[in-house]
Amino acid sequence: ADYNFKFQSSDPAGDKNFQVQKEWTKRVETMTGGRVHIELLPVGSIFKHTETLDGIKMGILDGHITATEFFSGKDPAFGLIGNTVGAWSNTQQLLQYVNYGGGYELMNELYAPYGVKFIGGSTTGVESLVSRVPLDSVADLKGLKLRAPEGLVQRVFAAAGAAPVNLPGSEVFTGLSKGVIDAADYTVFSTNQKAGMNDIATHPVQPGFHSLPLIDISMNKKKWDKLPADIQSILTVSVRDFAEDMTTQLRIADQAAVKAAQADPNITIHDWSAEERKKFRAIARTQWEEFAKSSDNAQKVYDSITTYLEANGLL
Amino acid sequence: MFDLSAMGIGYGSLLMLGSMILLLLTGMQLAFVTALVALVFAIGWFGVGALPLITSRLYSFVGSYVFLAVPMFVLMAALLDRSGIARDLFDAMKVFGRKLRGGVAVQTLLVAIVLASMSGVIGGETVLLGILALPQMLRLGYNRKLAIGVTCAGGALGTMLPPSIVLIIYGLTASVSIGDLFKAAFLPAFILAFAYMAYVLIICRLNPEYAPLPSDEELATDNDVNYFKALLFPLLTVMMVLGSIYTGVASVTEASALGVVGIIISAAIRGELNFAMLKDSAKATMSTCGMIIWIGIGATALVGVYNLMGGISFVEETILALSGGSVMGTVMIMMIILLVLGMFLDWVGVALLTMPIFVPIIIGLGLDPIWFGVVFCLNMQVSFLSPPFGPAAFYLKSVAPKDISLGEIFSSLLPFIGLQVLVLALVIFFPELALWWK
Amino acid sequence: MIMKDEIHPDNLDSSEQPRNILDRAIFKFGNLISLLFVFTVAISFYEVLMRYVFNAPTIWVHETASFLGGCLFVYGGIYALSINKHVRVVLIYDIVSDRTRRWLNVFHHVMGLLFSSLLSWAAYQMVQDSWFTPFGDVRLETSGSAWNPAFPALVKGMIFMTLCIMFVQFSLHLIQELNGLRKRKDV
Ligand code: NA
Ligand code: NA
Repeated sequence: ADYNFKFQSSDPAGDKNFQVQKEWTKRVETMTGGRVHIELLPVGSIFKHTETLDGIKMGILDGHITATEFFSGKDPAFGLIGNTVGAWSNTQQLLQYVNYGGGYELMNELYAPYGVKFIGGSTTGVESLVSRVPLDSVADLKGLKLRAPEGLVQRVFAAAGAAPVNLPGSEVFTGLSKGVIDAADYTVFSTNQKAGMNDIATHPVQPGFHSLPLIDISMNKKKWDKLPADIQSILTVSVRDFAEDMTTQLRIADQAAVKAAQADPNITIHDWSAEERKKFRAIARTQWEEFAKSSDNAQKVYDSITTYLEANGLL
Repeated sequence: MFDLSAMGIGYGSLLMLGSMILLLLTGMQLAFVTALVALVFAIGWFGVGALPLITSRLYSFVGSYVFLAVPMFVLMAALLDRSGIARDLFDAMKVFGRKLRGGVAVQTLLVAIVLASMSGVIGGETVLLGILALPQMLRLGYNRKLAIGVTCAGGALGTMLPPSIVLIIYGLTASVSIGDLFKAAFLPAFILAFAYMAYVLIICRLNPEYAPLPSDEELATDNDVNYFKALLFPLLTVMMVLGSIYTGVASVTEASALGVVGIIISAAIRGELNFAMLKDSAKATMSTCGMIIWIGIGATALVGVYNLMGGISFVEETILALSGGSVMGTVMIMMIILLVLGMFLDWVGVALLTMPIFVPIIIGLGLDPIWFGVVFCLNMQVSFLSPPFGPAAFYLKSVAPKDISLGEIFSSLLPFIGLQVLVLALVIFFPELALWWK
Repeated sequence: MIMKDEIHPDNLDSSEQPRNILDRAIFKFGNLISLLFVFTVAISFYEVLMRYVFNAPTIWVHETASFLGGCLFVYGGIYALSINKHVRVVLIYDIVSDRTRRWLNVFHHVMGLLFSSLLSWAAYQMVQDSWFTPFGDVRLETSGSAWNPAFPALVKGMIFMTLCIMFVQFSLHLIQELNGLRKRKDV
């Protein structure tokens, strides 16, 4: 191949997400007639998931496929755009914002100082909330010991009355099974079901209401600039298709997993009413505003997203 | 300058392994050997620009919450050693195996099983047994190699018997249920522990001089033990650790902290607690941790550089080419790779390096990834004992009497490695040993 | 007199004692901060207590414990080096002559210098990325959690500092070893 790139994913190799990402790299190779070869490495194989941005900047990695929110410690703006907790009701709304509502341009602006080019965005599915206790309303969140990842998610749940706990991913399973935590913001329903999360925490909330992460595919800007225009176009368009592929495949898997869980007498799926979801979004909005104050870039993200939501009648 | 990448990943892998072995043999510190090889290959293969990769991995490694359990268990062991609790416990336990040839070694293994069901990290148990059991067996005139082997192999059981950090990390890498992994590992873990006991009893029967029976005078002094006092405090501590994990009060790391608190309270009640004891124990923790964690740092640096060199796809292609697609052939090649890597690398490194490659192949062959997790865990049992990089041996070395050399420890471990490989083969050929409950 | 013995050690020093003033300082300071392990136990206990007895988990214990652990682990590297506690494969090292072993030590110290200088440089790059924004303003990298402490930047700074100290440590060990060799030749 004329161009050999190393991309690191934020997913482990056994994950469905990783397989879908790997299929994308193969499609890129086919579409470019073999001129571009992307080696996809699983999470942690070279850099810790929060360090890949530095890795690309230093030119050690060529690119990453990762959740943008992992860089919230570098700039809160990444936390806000990476997971605008409560903003999106489905994957289509987020993708529309990224592709046609200003998200693409904003991400490139945010990444420019790091020498990183945002090729395009995707997402998973609205995450399901894993819980040991029945949760049917915002009121039920009060005092809930909940594991949530870095960033805005923790603040919003804290504002809703829960007690967020910082636990590494490796302790979530034992934490839940032993009752160290009551609930966990983990990932989409099908993956949770497969990992046995719903067997030890039998009250999942699905569809979820809180978290829809932005997954970005990005690469080193200098290397991007050296690519011929046709390859640049192939990458851009193929990432747009990747987003469709990813969200659809996960939706199909979720539907099958929900069916399996419904057949299991031990598992009770909780679906929140529209009214409760709205209540949660109202709490979330106060936190976006707070969060936006923490950096100029975060304010930019806040303005961009709220403008888009208002223009589309979502706010 | 020189460009190593021109030699290709195949020769690169060989050169890496070769230079590592060579440097190790000069007596250079292990932690620095792996880190130095990583460094030289990073520069030679990619240029100096790739160096920050190593410091970034260093940062990620030391910041992980799960590793905090290591100093906790080391601290627990050090405090136990400096209080009278450990000696009282062991004296009291003599009653179980006093008249049995090899009884103290069997007891040590029983204690190891109890400790293993409290803790899920490698290190703590080995240190604890190294302080508790090894001096006792040596004092009673046990065969040195047998005593050392039992201590190390028993200590390594901590990650075979649930809870186990190895199984947890495997579950996360392979995306399979950790609960299922725990269930699957239980029986093989017990088979392994009982294999050790059977070996001890048989070898002591064949060679009575390996395990002298205590003299009548010694037996007479046994009656002086206050069993209630001797057993009360250890049991309280065990309950704090085990209890907090199994009732759900604490995570593994927190449970290890509770164990330390338990020992401190016990020592206080016994009237033994003082500041000097705390200070000494903390000091011991510092040097043991510095040694162990830096070995991990070296391994994680090496793995990062090797992955960047394209090690992942190289290994994948090599396995498929060698096995020609045969199921058993593929599994065997994986076992050999795991055993060889386990000789040189830390288990975290082995898991990170191989599981992304192996698990998809295993699933593709139609094999059960839960079973493979148990097989992987057994492989890592071997890796804890196998030279030249055998963490259990290092842990023991850090607390063993000065005259016990690393070489003696490793040679003592050979029969136990044999037993581990035997149980490994059993689980490979009879997967139902791990999957009977399914 | 004591200084002179240090610079020209008569016998090969394989003991687990600090060998010079820097080693002694590292050792003393290490003994002091090793008490932070006990402190980590205390706050972890506090966390369990708050969560279970008072149903009020803290937001700071996990991160503080990881932070302290990270710093102590890094420092443990130079601490173990100061008292010669790092593990070696002594298969050959233990059976060679005293003089050969000294030369092996010289080789190890030189490799150590190479190792620590390159890594210090790499750590400096890492610290730059975590202490400054790409625009050059000072902004300590934070954890991104609800509490959001600047621990990542501090641990990275600690790594840089430790590697620099390690470089000086290896330099002094090399000087001591070479002096020892020269003295033996003179005799
Ligand atoms: Na265990
Ligand atoms: Na080994």
